[in-house]
Amino acid sequence: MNNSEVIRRLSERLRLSQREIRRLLKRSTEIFKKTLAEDLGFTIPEFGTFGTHVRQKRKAYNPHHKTFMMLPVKRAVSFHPSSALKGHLKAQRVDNE
Amino acid sequence: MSNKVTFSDLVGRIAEETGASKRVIHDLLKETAVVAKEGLVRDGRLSIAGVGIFKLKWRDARQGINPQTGEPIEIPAQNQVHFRPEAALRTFINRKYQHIKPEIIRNDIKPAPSLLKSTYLFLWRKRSALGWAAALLALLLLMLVGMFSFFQPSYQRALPVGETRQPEAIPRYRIPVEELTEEKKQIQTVAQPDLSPPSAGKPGGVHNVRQGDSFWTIAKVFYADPYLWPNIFRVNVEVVDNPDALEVSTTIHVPPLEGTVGGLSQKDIMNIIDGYMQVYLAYRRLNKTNAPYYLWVAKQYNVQEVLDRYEDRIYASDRDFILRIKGSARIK
Repeated sequence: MNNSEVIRRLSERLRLSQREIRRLLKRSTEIFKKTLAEDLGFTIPEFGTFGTHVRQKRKAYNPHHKTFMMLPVKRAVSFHPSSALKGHLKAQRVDNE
Repeated sequence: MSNKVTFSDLVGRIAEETGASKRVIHDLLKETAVVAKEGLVRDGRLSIAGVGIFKLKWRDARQGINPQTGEPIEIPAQNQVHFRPEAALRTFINRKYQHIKPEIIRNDIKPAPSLLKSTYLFLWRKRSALGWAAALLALLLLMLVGMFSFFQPSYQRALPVGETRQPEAIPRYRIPVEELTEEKKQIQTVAQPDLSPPSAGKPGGVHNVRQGDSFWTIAKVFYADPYLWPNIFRVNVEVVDNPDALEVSTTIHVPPLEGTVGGLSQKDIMNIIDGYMQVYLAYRRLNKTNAPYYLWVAKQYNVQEVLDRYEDRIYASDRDFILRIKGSARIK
């Protein structure tokens, strides 16, 4: 499901215009981004928890240059699906490629 | 993730930002979760602009261990949600580390096996009589070379700071034969340094810095009194930043002294005080704690003429500090 389909479905369910939903969703994601940048996590009920963690610097092999490299420290976003979401997913394999 | 924002806080923040009511935002997020679940179950793939892509990944059933009891348990086949944040989100939360780039580690190449080991391995692989004969021959040759080099004079090693090599052994210090009229004169000939106290003054010269040299050691050789080293630093301020760290192969000019140690002329003393002030300024610039002591030595001479030149560059805190130092310093 892509973003426009999400917006269409939400507008059907919330009885708001697609334009309005698009605006609200865009602003919401901006807030998500800012929250994560402040090193804070948040949970969307029935969906999952977003958070960040530090990925320490590490040594990695660069197969192209055939050398080892020191990859710098960085922050990564993590997502943990809620048990409610996981419960719905268990059913069977979905072809998503 | 150390801290979390509560859902109501999040809703409040979004409502404030968008101008919509909290009710609407609350419903929007809840419904988004429902729609997202729908999308994941149907397509196994969901993308939300500004956040990223969620994908289902099928995990086959596998054997696991209950960490509490150690009993083997069957983990059923299931879907796992994989989340890949959008590139914009990734770069945004990494703004702080943006300037750090991956570095190539150059010295991580595996060292080649030592010659001895590789020779041994080679011979072991070719265990023929010829090989052993060659090994014996090599060993004999090695021993010969070893004995030969044993009787040769040992290599010149750099001496640690604070020591000087006997100048008779190696001609290190080059002093022009002609009288030095100015302090910075080019080297003309190589000559042995004059270590015996000359009749009048100490000649200056040019010195090429070697491993282990310091102003202290140079002053010791040229002036026979290491404490006069600031006099040398004085004329080399432009080449040497840190008086404690001389760079190898820097050319150091050594100014001549009119008098000798024990009978310095007034001009010498003024120069030396000037040197001590230069050292003070250099150490101050490098934030070294021993800087005020050099100021103190300079002050001990009470040569106002020199001190006045530096008056505006002396720190007030150092002025107070040297008042508390007891003792006396006199260069004879």
